[in-house]
Amino acid sequence: MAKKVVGVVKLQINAGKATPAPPVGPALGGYGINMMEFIKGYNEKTASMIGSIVPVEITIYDDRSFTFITKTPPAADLLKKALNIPSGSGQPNKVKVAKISEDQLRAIAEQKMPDLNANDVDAAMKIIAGTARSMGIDIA
Amino acid sequence: MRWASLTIEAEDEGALAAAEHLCYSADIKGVAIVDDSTPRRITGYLPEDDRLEGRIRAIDAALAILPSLGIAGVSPAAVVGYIEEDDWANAWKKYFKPTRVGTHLIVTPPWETPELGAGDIPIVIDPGMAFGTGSHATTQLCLMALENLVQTGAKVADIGTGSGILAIAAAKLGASSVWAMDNDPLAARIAGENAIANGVSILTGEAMPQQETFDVVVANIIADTLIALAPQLASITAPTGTLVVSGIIDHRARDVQKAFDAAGMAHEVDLKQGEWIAQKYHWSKH
Repeated sequence: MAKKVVGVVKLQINAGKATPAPPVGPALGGYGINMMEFIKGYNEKTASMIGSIVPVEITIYDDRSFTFITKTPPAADLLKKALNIPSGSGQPNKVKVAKISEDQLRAIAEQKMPDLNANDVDAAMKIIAGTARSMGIDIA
Repeated sequence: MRWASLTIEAEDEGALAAAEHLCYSADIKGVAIVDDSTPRRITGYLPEDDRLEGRIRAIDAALAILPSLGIAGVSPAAVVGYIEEDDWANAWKKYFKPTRVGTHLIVTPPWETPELGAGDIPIVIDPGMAFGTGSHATTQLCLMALENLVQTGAKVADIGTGSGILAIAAAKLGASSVWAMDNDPLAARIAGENAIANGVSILTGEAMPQQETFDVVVANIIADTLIALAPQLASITAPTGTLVVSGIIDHRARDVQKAFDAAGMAHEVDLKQGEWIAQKYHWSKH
């Protein structure tokens, strides 16, 4: 049956470890959808990616049913994995934690392209480079 | 316990990505994002405890240095709000109450105990992922039609069963056998589980029944699928049987009727609720 979309909710949560605590509870609570069903489904689908943050887009319909799709991990997550660093710098303007090459930047930009509103890889690279700078990563 | 919500505004995607990272480095476990409006907004949550004030200060300090790193368009401080802890895992259940449909059918979620009068038939449906919670007009039209059509001992087919609600209703109304089909294997499985929870047995499958006819055939899908399936739906309707098709938005009703005319069936009546239409058909000879 054709159902009306009443809301689209975008969350970034830890793969395989969603719980009803914030941000999931407050974001979905108002829609009256079966939250445990979402949490079970999300955790099942992302179980193999535990340790990453996996964004999810939940579409909610007028009969309180829903569908969801998962997206690529956020840029910061991809940068940490690519450079093998546990976290970004707490003082990115003073303390640098790593250096990234143009090729590495391009690889991450290409991976993120489908989920970015960037027209081309160069624009996507600019976005990723910004994130890198905010983490105290120097661009080589 | 209360939670603090921290909302950061970002002008563009690059600013949003930087704000995202800032939330994660502040050990915020997850964020909600609104990125289809300007400015984009990202909201993270922190429990209200004695560390909260320091954590908010750290986030604001990190926001303040972003421009010096060449990242523009992020709000200079997070907007802080507070929300009360709620029983988020169960709060949604209050939206689902027993609903009477037709004369005697009462659709109820498993955590509610409906009051039953003489002859009332409860149908227990857990409103999970598979559609058909009984609250939608297209499902209600079918339930009402089934209540009038299903005689004791009838053979019934439910095509596009979803949660199995219509198949279960048919079984409870006295059908001797019910075939519930859905091309989504998850739906077929959930329909079977819901039938067991209701103490009735139905046959579930992912394929259309072959070489078999039914006294009542019900298909609650959408107009285009009904049109495509018209010859098949007609072929499984017994010579004296009735076909009920639903899920038709009002302006498509005539298109659907044309398809079933072409399949040789006679249109009996349009059943309407809001903008939704269900149609009843029988064989013209009978």
